[in-house]
Amino acid sequence: MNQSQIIEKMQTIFDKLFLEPVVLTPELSAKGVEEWDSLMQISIVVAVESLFNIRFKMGEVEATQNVGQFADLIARCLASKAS
Amino acid sequence: MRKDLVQNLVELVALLIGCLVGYLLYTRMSWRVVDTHFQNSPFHIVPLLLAYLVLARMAIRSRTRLGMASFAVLNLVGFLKLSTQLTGAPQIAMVTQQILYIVIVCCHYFLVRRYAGSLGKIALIPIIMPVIVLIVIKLLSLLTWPRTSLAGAIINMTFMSYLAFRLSYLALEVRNRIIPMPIFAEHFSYAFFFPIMPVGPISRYSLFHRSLKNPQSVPLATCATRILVGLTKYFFLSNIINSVSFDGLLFDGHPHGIFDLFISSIAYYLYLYLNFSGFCDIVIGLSGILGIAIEENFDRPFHARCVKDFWNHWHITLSTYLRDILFAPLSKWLAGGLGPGQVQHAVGITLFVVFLVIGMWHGLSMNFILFGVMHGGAVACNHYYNLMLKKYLGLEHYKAYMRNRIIQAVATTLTFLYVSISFLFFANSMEKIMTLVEVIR
Repeated sequence: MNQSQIIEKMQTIFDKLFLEPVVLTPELSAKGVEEWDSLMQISIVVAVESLFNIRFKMGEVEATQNVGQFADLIARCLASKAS
Repeated sequence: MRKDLVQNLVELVALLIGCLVGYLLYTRMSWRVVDTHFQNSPFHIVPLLLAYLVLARMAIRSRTRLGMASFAVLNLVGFLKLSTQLTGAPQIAMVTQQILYIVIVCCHYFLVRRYAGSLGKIALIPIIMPVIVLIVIKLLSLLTWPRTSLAGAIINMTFMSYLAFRLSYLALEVRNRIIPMPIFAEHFSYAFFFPIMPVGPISRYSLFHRSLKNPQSVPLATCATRILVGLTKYFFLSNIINSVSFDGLLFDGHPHGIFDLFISSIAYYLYLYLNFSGFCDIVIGLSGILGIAIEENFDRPFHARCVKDFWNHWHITLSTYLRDILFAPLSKWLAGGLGPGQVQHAVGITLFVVFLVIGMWHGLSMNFILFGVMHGGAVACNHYYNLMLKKYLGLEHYKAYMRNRIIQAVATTLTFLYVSISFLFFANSMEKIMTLVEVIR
């Protein structure tokens, strides 16, 4: 799965969780969305983990700067699971 | 170009005049600072500090291994001087403490080198080790030794709280491959980077590392202004406002009304902000002169509309660290344990635990635990309150509720008062809080 496909799947999660509609782009970061705080982050991470069936390591997701990097991280997790 | 130069010069001249006026005020006036951190007048360390800044700046700009090593040595010297200045412990206890700090940092470097790069759970060892050391030290200091005995003086390792968190954050970032494995001199100079030793911020190693590779160039006048602002907040404003806080007003031996409790609490809240953020301003300004970027620790906390929001703007680096190291893993683990659909409860429970930990980190006594409970309780309640509002109001009405100016104003005021009152438990030991009943009529 490439980055844009992953972001497309992530969009479904964001649509469910956020009050205001959020359009995901690779450059979007938590700072740009008012509702996206550390509590929301947990809901997102838990939803992403169950949707893609992966597990992140401690601090991995928090280290990503924007949606693009987050999607790349998901891609890496998927790749390491497949191998 | 010339305009910049003129502007810089004007700023510098203004700054020098400001310093002169400040110094004159400081030496002439009778409200000589009653300072919590420095034993003596802090001004005699200024020449030493300047020497450190010049040498460290040269060492960093050289960008060689030798430069890095000298930077590490400079920081060690700075730390040794600082700890001698700050702790009033007897000589032998202080030297033991300093040796212990160095041993802990060296051991941590060894563990990072050995385990942080490996896959699997073993990489957690260097992340957890500093925290365990911190817990052991705190527990030992709880044991019956009086603080005045030698063992009590040795174990009172005040720098460890921040040092432990920074070291474990470093190990976390190395494990997650955010930064390459540090060389010893880098690790050592980060651990003992002496401006951030006393009270943080818990600035990330990745930022420090990037600054060393590519020192930021902040105009000198900007850094100096930042330091001046910090000095004014720390030595001047905070001490003025502190004269009407708990010790100055409420516990002055006279009876007081309930209204004075609010005055004292608010004054203490302001005092703490000025004192703490002032110190951080100084730290960020000093580091800026060296070209090292340090994370901001405060962002207008008085605007917060709920306690959770307060912690997003107050002591930011502490909340960020605990978010990454405790909140995220624990809530995920709980969410997994409680089963799908229970994410919100997992978050609620974890929030409470995190704030309890924040309370206990400040000190292992009943008043700090109560401080943690007050904040944890408020954040958890607020979490469930928001969930309930969303459920009963529906999304549209909830949005309108959040946007409502009046509700915003009320919430901000209530948060401000609640946080102020909570600092009652932060500032005073339990015995003192007990005497409140007699003081307030």
